[in-house]
Amino acid sequence: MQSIPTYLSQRIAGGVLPADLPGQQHAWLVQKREAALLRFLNNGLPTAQDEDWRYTHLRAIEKETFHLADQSTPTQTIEHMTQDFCGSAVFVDGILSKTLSKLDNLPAGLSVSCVREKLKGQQADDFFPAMIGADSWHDLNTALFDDGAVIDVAAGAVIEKPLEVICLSTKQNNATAYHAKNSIHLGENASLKIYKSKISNASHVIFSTHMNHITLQKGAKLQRIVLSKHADTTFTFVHDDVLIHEGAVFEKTAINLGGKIIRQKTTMNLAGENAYAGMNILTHTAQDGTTDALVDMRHNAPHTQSKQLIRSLAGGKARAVFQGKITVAQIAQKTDAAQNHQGMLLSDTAEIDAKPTLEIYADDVKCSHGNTCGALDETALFYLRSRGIPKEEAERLLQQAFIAELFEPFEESLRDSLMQRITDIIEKGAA
Amino acid sequence: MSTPILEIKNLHARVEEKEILKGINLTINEGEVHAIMGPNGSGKSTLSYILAGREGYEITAGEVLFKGKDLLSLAPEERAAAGVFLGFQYPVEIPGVSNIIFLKTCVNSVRKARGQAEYDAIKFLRIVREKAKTLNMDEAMLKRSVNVGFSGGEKKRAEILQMALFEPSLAVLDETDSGLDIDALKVVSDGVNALRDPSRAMLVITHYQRLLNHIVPDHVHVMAAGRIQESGGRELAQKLEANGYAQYIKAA
Ligand SMILES: Nc1ncnc2c1ncn2[C@@H]1O[C@H](COP(=O)(O)OP(=O)(O)O)[C@@H](O)[C@H]1O
Ligand SMILES: [Mg+2]
Repeated sequence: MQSIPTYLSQRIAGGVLPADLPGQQHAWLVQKREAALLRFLNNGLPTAQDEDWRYTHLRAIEKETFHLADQSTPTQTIEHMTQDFCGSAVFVDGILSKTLSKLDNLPAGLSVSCVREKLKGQQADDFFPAMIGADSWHDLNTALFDDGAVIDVAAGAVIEKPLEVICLSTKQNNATAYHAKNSIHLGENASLKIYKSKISNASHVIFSTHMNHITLQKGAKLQRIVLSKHADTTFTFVHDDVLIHEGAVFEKTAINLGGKIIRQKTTMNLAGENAYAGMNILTHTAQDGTTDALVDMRHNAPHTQSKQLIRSLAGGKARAVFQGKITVAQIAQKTDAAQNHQGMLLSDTAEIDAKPTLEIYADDVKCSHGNTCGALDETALFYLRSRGIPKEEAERLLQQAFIAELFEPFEESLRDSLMQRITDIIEKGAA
Repeated sequence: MSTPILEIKNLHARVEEKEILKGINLTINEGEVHAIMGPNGSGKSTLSYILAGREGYEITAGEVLFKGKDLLSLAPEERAAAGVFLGFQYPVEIPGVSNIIFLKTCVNSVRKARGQAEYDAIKFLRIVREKAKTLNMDEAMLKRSVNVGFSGGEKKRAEILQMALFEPSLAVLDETDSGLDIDALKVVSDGVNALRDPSRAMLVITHYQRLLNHIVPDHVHVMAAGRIQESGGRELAQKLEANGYAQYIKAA
């Protein structure tokens, strides 16, 4: 038998998966979970020798012992990214809350359920396809997932108002862990906006993994905004794997405003002609956290287009990491791929690491990438101050200007409210 | 008796071990317009930055009084609130910050610090539009990022617009004429002249005499090698135009 590391010793006592996991009646799932656990125990956590983990060190996790959260009611007030949404799925400590969610009057063509619900009863198919770049976290997540959203838009359904997904955490006495497996499927020519916020000001240690399986059928369009603000005791590992078929459009804006270790990986497979992926990332991290964004963009069909815009700001002793890879397969002629990363150091003790990589196997493509890193522009700061703007406000203005481009695609009201929220969170640590 | 707005006494300053200002003495009274002329590299911009509070200069001797109080201990934003305005030789580009937001933030910061009521968005827009018009500025400029993609003339006009909104007690204009064609020079000069006021002092820094045909100074100083080498009335400017700076460079 494998020895169980301390951090899992509570949930996997004696090497056996806990009985409270959903879907235990399905042999295929039990088998899948056990195999994944075995792989995880064999491989362990990634180490610095791992190419993708050169910058982000995981030792801190190993010191904790993680428990399942006790059922509790969140004390946080829910803040909405928009007031006009078509439905709201609220997860508390990783589990869908029926009382807090508003999913009764969803528009036609949109269905929102949860993994627990899907796994009830005797019949359930495996609705989680394999993931590109699945790693140890995926194995751990498969072994232990508790719940997750299952979102489906029927072919041709165009959902105008955004769907809101909110993840909350409650006050707990122990270090807690949860594992979410989410699935989003858009049928042909379907369209959906999902605004997700993961906000936690918990003072206890939280460890979570989030595996998001996203499929866009031909001509579908998904706009995804994810706003995350974690306490500086939080470890979070996210992997979005996105399959984008012909003519489909995937647009993601990820706003990462801190945590102890935040890893956010997005793999995108542009699988059909004229598929598009837009990826905007804002990382703003302070104190001593590490936020690590990894983008793996794969052009696997001709005439596909991708655009990445990443802005990293790091203060305190924090570290912001961006690893961005663009791969253009031989068949993917006429690919148009652009990537731009800019980093801003807010203190002398902060660090920003960027590793852009291009792998191009087609000969008729347009690929551009740019990467810069610097401190706040002292000349601009002086100019603003000489016009009477106090130092802190001038710094804020310049920081806002630095990230403004990320939100240009949004309509003004959303842009303003997001900017306001981001500023509030950064300044007051408010959620 | 006239009241001094600015008193610079024996000012010595260095940048990275290099002495640039080597004992500047200059007093400007209320209502006066002084011009400093001098060859490139003589320390004119350095002096203007020091007055506005830019970091990176070491003051090794001397002092600067503004309305009788120590200026050098104030932060740049405090100087602005107190009434010091610097028109930059090279106005700074700030991508991502629109002019109108910038102007409103500046003006309201200063008004707040001066204990005046802040303008609301509508009132402010009206005031800005009015002033922009007198400076022949295209309104579209207000929506664009601060100084980004502006021509030399547009940048200088934007500086004068800021000055007009600020209503400073001391305006230091560093090479406001550089990069201007003759029409723009006229517009900018008119903008400056409109602000001449018995309660206001101005320090106009320039390399060429031609600006001083439009903004006629009360006093002219020649600066070279970090010192004021000669002072006089407006006729000194004409003399410089005829003879150049050679004698001062040799003397220095
Ligand atoms: N930041 C700096 N570092 C080093 N030298 C400087 C710096 N700023 C100005 N200088 C030097 O100081 C001298 C005066 O410059 P400046 O004040 O710009 O002159 P002016 O405006 O009269 O042309 C020049 O020799 C210039 O090279
Ligand atoms: Mg100069």
